[in-house]
Amino acid sequence: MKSLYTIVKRELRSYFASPLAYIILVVFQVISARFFFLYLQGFLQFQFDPSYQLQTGDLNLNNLVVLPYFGTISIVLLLIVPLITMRLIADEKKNYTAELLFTSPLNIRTIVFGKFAASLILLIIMLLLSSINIFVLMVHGNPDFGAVISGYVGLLLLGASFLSVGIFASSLTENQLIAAVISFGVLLVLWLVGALSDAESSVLGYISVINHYEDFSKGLIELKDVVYYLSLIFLGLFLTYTSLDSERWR
Amino acid sequence: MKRRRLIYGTNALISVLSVCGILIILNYIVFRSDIRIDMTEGKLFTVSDHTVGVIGNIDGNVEMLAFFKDVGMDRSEFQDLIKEYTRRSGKIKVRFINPDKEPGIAKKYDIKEYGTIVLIDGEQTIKLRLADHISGGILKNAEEEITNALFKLNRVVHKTVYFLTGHGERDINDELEPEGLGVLKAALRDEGYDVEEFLLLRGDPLPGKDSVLIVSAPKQALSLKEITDIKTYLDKGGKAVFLIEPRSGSELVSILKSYGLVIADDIIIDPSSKLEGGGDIAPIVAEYAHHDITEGFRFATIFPYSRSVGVVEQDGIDSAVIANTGEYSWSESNFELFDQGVAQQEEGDKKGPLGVAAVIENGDKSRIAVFGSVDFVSNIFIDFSGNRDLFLNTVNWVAGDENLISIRPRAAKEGKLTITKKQTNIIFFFTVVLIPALIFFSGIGIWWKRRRL
Repeated sequence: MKSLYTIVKRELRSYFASPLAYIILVVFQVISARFFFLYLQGFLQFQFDPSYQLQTGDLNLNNLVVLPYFGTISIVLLLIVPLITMRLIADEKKNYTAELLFTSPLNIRTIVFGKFAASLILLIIMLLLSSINIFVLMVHGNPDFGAVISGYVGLLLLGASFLSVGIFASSLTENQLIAAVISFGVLLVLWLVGALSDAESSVLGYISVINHYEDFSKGLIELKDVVYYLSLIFLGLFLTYTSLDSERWR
Repeated sequence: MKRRRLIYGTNALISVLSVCGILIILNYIVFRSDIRIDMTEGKLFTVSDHTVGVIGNIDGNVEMLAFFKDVGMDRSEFQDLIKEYTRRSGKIKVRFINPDKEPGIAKKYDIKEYGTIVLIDGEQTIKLRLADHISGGILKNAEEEITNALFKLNRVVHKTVYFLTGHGERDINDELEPEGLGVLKAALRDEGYDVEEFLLLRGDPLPGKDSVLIVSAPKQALSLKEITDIKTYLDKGGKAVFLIEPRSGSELVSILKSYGLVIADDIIIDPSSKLEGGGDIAPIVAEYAHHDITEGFRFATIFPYSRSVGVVEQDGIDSAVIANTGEYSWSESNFELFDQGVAQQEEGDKKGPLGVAAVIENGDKSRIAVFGSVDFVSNIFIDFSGNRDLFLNTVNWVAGDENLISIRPRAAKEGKLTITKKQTNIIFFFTVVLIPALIFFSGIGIWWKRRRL
């Protein structure tokens, strides 16, 4: 446990010692908050436009602001997560610290999990930042809080699976850029594969990483979606472990 | 060395494959289990206890054909809703059909619009139109519609709607001519009723239980015997709907009067409906009295060639006019002028709003509905706006099937945002400018400090 804590601390320190974490946080906050305002302004316009209300009947904060906002965050995560994970292992390999680390008394499992946990903490900080906007909505309006919570659970699971895929990509190479490109490519395929097929019913639809997120954003937590994300996270971490373990005998 | 690598490599491959296998099996099991938590405040994705009860009592297998486009809000909303049904009962099977890709099956069930579903249980079918053209999704009360349809499919006794014949009534088998009632017959079938013709002249008594009698504009007068039979039927608790055009059915008018239903000898003229696309004698109805039949009803209806109907209070009888014309309409009783096409609103003419539909409930016994028009459900007008629904609601109410199960519509709560322009600007500055700037400069600060170390 103590060694896990040490790894997490070490990784977090290296995140926040370099400008990378700050740039990621700034970019994330500016993009997501800007889009949030677009949706908010849209809602305000609809609110004062009787013809809109006649056409659709519903004026719903969750459908018009929260849902598209979460949609934007999920896309931003797709773009940013590869940048968070790219250096996690590739950098160690490049600097020859990997050998030191992996021959140390620390268990490989602990190392992989520690690195994952550190990146997860950065993700949580991002999501907390994004919740400031939701807080504004809570103060001035009446969004469905239950749906907001489930949306965040979904974003956390989605982001965590992205991280896990990213860490695996980072373990395959010593070049950070290649690691980022690999993880972005894999995530994009996992994202788009749903478009090829009807959701749910088919294998491709099930594999799609974004199909499972839809229910969360609507306010519905389904066991199958949770299990899917946990499986993806576990698989990514397991493959990372296997990939690192293989270096001992390769 | 090589051998060692091969062993380790094989081991790694096996362990990766087995982990994948386990995850696939786990996901497959969970995919079928369908356990979920509805986090929304309004429980938007949870069906009511009534629905759960009805689903639990389904005897046979119900096949549900859902005619939707491949993508669309109506389809996804329906999927969300129907998932709740299928996961609670293995007896409901849903099959999505794109009517454009499978026109054969769409034609078989006479599907005319997307968002229609057909419930099939053996021989019986019920067709529901769930598309909500205003929102682009499905109707807010879709759950009520589906559950009631399942309930109707499942009940042992099927109700029959009898159309009186033998006096030149509108033909219920005619689907082509404008004045036929063939489309109405199909609509009643879709609603789960058996539809038959009934010749009272033959002397058979009207079947009292589980039936509704519809008298649709007889051209010739009914015989005294028939009048007596109908009266006996109603007195015994019979259920009936009368569609009586202007200048006809005086013998029926007098029976109905004894129940408190007053049918004036006039014709409603409504110049304002000309603006809406109807003629002078096709009043448009947009106002409905508060009644089980009209609850939540928000469509306009058109009543071509209609006379006015009203009610008089009687002890033990609940009566109500449920649909009224607009204020610019008037009741024209001078048919001579009308025939010459020069009818004008005069001093003595009764002004709108005028009733075009009235209902009575005689204690726990009979239920009677009267419409002053028959054209509004004829082939040419039945699909106008809410005509079909108003009539079917009425038949359901008369048959005692109204609110078989009444379910609160699932609606997300109305959103509101009380925020001024100034507040918006402050928040924008705070979240888009200030917070990112703070992060940025603290980052630079830390990085700078560490660089100098």
